[in-house]
Amino acid sequence: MRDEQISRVKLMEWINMYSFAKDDAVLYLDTHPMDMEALDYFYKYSKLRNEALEEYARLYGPLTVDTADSNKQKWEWIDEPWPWEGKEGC
Amino acid sequence: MSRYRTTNAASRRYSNQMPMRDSVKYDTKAHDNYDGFPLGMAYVPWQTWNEVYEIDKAFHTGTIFPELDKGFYCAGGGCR
Repeated sequence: MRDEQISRVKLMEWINMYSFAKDDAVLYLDTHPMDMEALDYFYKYSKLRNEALEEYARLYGPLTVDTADSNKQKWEWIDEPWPWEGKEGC
Repeated sequence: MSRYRTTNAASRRYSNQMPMRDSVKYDTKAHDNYDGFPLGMAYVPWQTWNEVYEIDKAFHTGTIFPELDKGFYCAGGGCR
């Protein structure tokens, strides 16, 4: 695998892990909305996830629609494969 | 038989309260401590925030919470 592909896969793995950590904290917060430790955890991984998504969009193209304008010049969403095209991506 | 056998500490802690699913017969009085509780009700203890797993471990386990890592289908730590 080329270095760029390895980096791309690695960054995707980090995004998946950040997303999972954030989502599990969300489930906890639904029943513990005043838990400051849980809130801190949520904000930490939510921020890391957003940064990783922006980094991914800048380097490889957007994974989420809210990072589809990373170069501000063009709507990049349409450059990525659509789900039915069977290539990698969300 | 090993399908229901778990190895983590939490499971061992509760093992004297949980009837073994693979037992042909068991003495209910010897296994539960719920005298006076109505039948047909489930109880979910209130969770508190404690230490959580590192995110790579959490991702592969399916929970960030060690106390919810029951290892019901695998011997702890999620499927490999």
